[in-house]
Amino acid sequence: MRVLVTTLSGHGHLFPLVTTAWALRSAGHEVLFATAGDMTAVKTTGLHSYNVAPGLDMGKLVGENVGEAFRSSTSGRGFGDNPGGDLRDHPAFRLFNGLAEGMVDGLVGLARDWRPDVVVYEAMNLIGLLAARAAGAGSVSHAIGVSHNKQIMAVFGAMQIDIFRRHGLDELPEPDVYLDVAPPSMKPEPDGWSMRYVPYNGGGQLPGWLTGRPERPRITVTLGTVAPMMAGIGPVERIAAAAAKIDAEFVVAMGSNVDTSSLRDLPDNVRLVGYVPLGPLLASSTAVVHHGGAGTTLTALDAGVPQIVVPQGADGPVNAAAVAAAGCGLNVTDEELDARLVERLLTDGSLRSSAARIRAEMRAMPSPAEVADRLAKNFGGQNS
Amino acid sequence: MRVLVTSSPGLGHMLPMVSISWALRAAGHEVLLAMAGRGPSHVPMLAASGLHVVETQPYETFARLMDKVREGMDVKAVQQSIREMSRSGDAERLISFGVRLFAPQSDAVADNVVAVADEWRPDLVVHSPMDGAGPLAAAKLGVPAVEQAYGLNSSETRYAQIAEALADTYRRHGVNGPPDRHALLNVAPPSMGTPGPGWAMRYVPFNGGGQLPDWLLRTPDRPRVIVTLGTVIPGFVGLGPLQWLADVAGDLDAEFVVTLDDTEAEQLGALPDNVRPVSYTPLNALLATSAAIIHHGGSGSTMTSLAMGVPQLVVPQGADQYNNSHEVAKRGAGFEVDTEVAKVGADDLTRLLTDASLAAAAAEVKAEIAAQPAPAELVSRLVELVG
Repeated sequence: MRVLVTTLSGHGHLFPLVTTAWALRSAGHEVLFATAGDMTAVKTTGLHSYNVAPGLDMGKLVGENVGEAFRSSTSGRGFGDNPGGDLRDHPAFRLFNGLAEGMVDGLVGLARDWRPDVVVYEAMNLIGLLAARAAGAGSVSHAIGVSHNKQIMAVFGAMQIDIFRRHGLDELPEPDVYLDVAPPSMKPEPDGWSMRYVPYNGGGQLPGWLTGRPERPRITVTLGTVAPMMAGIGPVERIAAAAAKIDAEFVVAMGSNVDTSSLRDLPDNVRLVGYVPLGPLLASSTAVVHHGGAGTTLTALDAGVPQIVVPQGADGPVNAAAVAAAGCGLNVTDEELDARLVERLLTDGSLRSSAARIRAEMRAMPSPAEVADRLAKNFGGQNS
Repeated sequence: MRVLVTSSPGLGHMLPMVSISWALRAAGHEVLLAMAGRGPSHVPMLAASGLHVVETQPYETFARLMDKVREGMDVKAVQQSIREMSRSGDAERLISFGVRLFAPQSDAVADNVVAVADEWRPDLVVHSPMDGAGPLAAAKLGVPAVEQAYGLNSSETRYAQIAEALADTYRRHGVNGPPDRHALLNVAPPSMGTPGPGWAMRYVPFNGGGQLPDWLLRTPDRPRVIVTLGTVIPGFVGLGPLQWLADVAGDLDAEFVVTLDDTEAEQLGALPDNVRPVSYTPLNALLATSAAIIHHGGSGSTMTSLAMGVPQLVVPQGADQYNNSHEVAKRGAGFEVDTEVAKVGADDLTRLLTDASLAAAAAEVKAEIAAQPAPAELVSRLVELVG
């Protein structure tokens, strides 16, 4: 069958659908990955891609709105906090609506030309529903985090309803399938089909030190690709200050565009590295300290390592709360982060056993390969 | 489980390892590629599959190695003998010839592949047909090895042949023979090559990712013909086999899309309006809206064309290309022009576009391939093999 996969182009939105796309391709289906804006991330997934909005100045749109949209969730104006209120002046509305407006015509046009049997869209990229409708294809909403649920999607849908009206719909249609990646103990009633989260965090050449086991426990520290730009690197500075007192090796993974000038004179046990795929890095780590991004949180859950989450914005607070409630990590503020908490990450047996339990739970969920098979049976028809 | 994936250097060997690697990853297994390229673009292109890669040798190693191999060799005579073996359909002899030819390349990466395996502790090694380093690492660790075929012909005796050709290398690592447990993922369509041995698997092309241009997604008004010499041949024999593009393509009511960068295209002189040079674009994407292909007979081009059901005109230039070309012609899914004695002419192009028997045979083979179990379906058998 033919599968159109569509996401926003930011790493956090795009990465979680790559393994699903690989599952479909390696089962023999045709897969086309449609996104817009910065095509860098999709270029190194090995998939065939298509830019649905070559003229869209994504950088400008994001630049003007992302800071406030990112921070708004921590200032009491979270996306899901107030579903009934008027969200039109919410910065997140301006950002996501602007992206959807910019992408929708190209995406729908592509769907008409390419005629997919099914459209798999990242849960927040709701215009995938319109692409599916235009092609007469099935529609699949693909969650990218533990906290992404139908309710949040409904809020996003309400924010974008004008786009749907213009396409002749008075309300948001339901997708045929919801794919939910939350581990069962973190969300006992999944929205739709449950699927194991198999992390994709970018491929590429691994440095030699990453394939072996370190001599001392390794603690990975990351703030993802967006948070350092929005909220600075406060948590990393606090780790750097505390590290000398802790018998562990700290690997601080920072994107290439981050200002790290405040991290001079690091103790010997802190290694500052550029971009390293988080999956292999956590496979060699004993624990992780991070900002609460959806992909980072799920990759840490998959690795089965205890986590300290220092939420920096967007969905960070929700993910941090979910991790703390599951007992596999700590939800702390920048100011609380100190050597004592990091020590606890290494020594607290209950954090470690909860992390191991959730890892085992995730491994028992249907893999992307199994879900691809089920999708083919549902949407492939004669060509499945 | 953990799966180490190894390959001989060169894109034709490396890229066919990606589909099974994706299948393994999508089933939740850990996958690490340990490979070396033969050119500066090879490992980066492999890394752009999104998989994790450890480079086992810098590419320059293999240029030096090839020079050394060629020193004592009458290249023309070797090519001639390969042609004869191919024409007589002696796949077994061709394979043993290939195994010996590739042994020095396997030896060059063996120590590093074994070191990666020792450290990463895979449960399974999947390797390309000519690679002997992967099977060595598997034998040393006592884990199974699986050959991922890239073309039409496979052999039951390959593991023994490799162990013999690399006896010194194996001994250096304290290994006496092939791994005890091994299997073969055989991608030959049931009606071509040697489909017998191993486990039949659908050939799912991976020709690199990439952003597709608009024109490629739509079926064109005139039939579109793809023209490619792959990644190796232009460097070896030049662009002579494509001269017909400038000379006769203009006479045909068809659109020719040729995979050449601008500097290469200039070497062909003034090209007719219906010839469009394109820089690197994945071959399966090019073929999705095309009526036919003209290529050099590399295994990747041949198999991708078969999987996409497109009639082929093959102009073999060396290596296993004569064999592939012979097999394609025998099956009726295409025909061959021997560029040593003839030029591709307008009548060849007309035949390629109008001979309905070619299209019918190509469609049959496409259906045969699509009916084989996909890489994703083979994963459970690999898990069972590991036990």
